[in-house]
Amino acid sequence: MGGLLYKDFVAVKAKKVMLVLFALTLLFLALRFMLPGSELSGSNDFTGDMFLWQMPCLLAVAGIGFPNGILIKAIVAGDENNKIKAFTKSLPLGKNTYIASKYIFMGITCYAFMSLEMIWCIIYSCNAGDNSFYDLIQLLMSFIIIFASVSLVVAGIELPFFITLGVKKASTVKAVIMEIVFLLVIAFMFFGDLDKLGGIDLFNFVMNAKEHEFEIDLAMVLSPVFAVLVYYLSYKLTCALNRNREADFND
Amino acid sequence: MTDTGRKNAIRSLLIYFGVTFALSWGMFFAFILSGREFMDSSGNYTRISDILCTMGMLCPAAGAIITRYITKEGHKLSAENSLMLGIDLKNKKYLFYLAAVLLPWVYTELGSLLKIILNPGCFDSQYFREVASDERLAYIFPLMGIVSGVFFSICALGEELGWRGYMMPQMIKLFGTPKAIIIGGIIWGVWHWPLTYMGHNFGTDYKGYPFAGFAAMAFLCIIEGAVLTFLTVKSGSVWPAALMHAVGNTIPSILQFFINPEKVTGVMSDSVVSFYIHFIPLLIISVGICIIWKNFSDKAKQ
Repeated sequence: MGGLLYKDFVAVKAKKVMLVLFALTLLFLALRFMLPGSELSGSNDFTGDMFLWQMPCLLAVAGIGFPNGILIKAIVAGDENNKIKAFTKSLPLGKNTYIASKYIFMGITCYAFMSLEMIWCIIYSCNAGDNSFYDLIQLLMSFIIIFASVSLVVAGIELPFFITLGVKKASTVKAVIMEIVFLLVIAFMFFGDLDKLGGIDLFNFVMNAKEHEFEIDLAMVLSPVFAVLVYYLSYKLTCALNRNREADFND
Repeated sequence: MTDTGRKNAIRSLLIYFGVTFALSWGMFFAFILSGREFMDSSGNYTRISDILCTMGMLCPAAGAIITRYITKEGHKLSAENSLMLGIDLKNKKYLFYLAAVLLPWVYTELGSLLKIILNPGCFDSQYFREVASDERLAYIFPLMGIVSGVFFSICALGEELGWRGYMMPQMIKLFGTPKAIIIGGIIWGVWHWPLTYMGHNFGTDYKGYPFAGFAAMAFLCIIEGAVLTFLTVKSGSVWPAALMHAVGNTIPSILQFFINPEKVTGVMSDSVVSFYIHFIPLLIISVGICIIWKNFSDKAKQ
């Protein structure tokens, strides 16, 4: 198992990714101290907060998108190109070890991104002013576990497709689903009630979130339970779908 | 243990202590010298203290990784002489993980109960309305503590990779388990001293500041270190220790929302005394675990 995980670690060039993220974290820390935040009642120079609050937000988006958008494809495609999947079937490993290694790898990636996100939020907050940007980052912090849960659920949906169908077919299915979603969005823009979107205001959302702290915290508690359950069921489903495929690889 | 093995273990430990203390104490003392506030006038931690603690907690992991690089011990993820990052749930080892996330709830709840029993006047059934923005939050607080502890365990993992994953195995080789737990606990406690000096855990307004705080921190690190070492050795992984450490740091107790600090009287109003009382249940758990551990070890030897 350790070997399979290390293989995926190498396949996605994780060492380089980790070094880049480490360097970015140090850069962010340096920028945070160079560009301190301002108090609402103090000077009105919000340059630091306005510029830097976007970085944890971007990382949150990357934390959901990167594992599911790029990593799953990369770890499965690498195996297909090098016929590793067939090779591992010939090793004295448990029947589902290969599948489990993919699920564990994606789980570790979600955990790593979530941890990094938390550290970036703490870095932002350490020298932030007492203003709306700070409130927004605090809200983002309370949403990190929910984001990680979403990321895990999406991985739980994508992994059975990629492992069972292979990268080519799974990518086609994914593209079809994405196109349907895109068309629905376009259809809404043409025929839907766009006035509903006009009321969306990020800072209003922050203010409303303060009034719904209990509901957010409850979601924080329940979302990982739901996500882990979906992830586990997805693993079982993938194992069931691949149960009788051993002969194909040995042929 | 051979003389060479002993010398190597001592050398590795000295390098580890040098790197870890230089990194973390360097940061802590730079913070003290900078004159920035660790706590504000109302006794709350300042925002900048969060980043100091976060970075500080990651230093033992950096210490262990750098030491392994210098001593050429390698960076294996699991098996013997490794970073102990592997997760093995077979042979009922999942029980250690379960214990790791539930024990902090048990001992913090019992600690709060003990405080109320010893000082009934401090019980205030309406106090949670003052501290929690939503009353219902008080009742799900332990669950929030467990979930956020498990998911945000990276900082605790940073400490555990160093103290339990690297220091304790070397200490156990050198001194045997009982002595290693005490010496390792004291060293872990000493590592916290600059933070204690700044007001971490106890504030600065207590009798015998800062030395009483130093002693209390060493006491906590010995008793908590014993449980964390037990979990690490028995599970073969630092993860249970990291989870217990992380969940413990969130203080997942419901009863604490019913203790009004303004109504605490007598010696218990001293933060260090209150701290000792709070951790008496952990002391009992720790002693119990050590006795069971010793009995199992004796049986295994026979």
